Amino acid sequence: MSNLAFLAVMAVLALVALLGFGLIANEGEDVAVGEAVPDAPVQVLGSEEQAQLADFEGEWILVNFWASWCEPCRTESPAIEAYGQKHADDLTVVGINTEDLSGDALEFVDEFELTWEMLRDGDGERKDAFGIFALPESFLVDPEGRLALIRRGPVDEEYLEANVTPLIEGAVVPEGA
Amino acid sequence: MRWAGALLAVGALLSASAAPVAAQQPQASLPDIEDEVMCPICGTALNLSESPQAERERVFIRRLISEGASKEEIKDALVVEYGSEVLAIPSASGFDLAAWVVPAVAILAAGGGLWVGVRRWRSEGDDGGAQTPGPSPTDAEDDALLDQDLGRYQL
Repeated sequence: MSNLAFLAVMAVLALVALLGFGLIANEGEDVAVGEAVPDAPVQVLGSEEQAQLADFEGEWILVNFWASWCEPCRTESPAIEAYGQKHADDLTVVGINTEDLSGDALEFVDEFELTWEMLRDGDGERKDAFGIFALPESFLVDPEGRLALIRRGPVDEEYLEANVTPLIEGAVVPEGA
Repeated sequence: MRWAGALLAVGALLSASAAPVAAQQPQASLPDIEDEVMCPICGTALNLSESPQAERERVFIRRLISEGASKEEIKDALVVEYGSEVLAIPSASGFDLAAWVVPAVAILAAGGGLWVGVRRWRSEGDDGGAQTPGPSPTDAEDDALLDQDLGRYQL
């Protein structure tokens, strides 16, 4: 094999290795029920303060990822607000606004009169940590900081009553606990 | 006194013309900015995206332009909103690292290839010069024909 042919083969192998590395690197994070919730400090929406999910340790937390440009988020937000109000003694709802303009997000909160805790994930780093592909997605975190339920898609009050209420009221032990 | 008056007048004229110049900032424009920033949700340059999210980003940029923000101020504001990935500069980690490494490796490889090629070409040129055969010797028959022709002319 001539030197030129050897170099060509090496270049093709390097390209294949690069593409393989790209596929592995872009695979993203994945989370599962029973695992510790991914957590890191983020900005509180509309404030310079920082907060993180560990601040709510000891409580059931419903973490909802949303954005003002997400149409299904407009449908589910009133349902989450109503459910959060109804179960305020058992559950804290934490919204994480992701890949959005803070001004648009604050307008959204005003429009739907949302009263939950709102954190901000402007660069989508938290979204990636939760392995989110599309908005909205919701995660129920138990008082020990483990994931108890993962919902890839919008929720409504019926879904929340059927799947979240039994967990937070202790009627069902979360999988993996 | 006349000189002093003239100097004052010139000074006043200069300062009057300098003031607007000092106040001038490079005027930011949407076309100038949107090809240098990303629509992070779309994963494309902003000028290539027509999604609602991209349109919200344009509204944000237009508002800052109308408030008199410079291009750099607008880029800074976008970074605050979306993080540094909005600047269309690949990060130095994960697969994006390839965007930095591959061109560097390609340049090194091309330079190395060129160097090897030039060396080989030069050495072949040197060796070839020593080995190049001269004009092929005419054979005896041709010599005889040539002598015969020349003889006819009695030179």
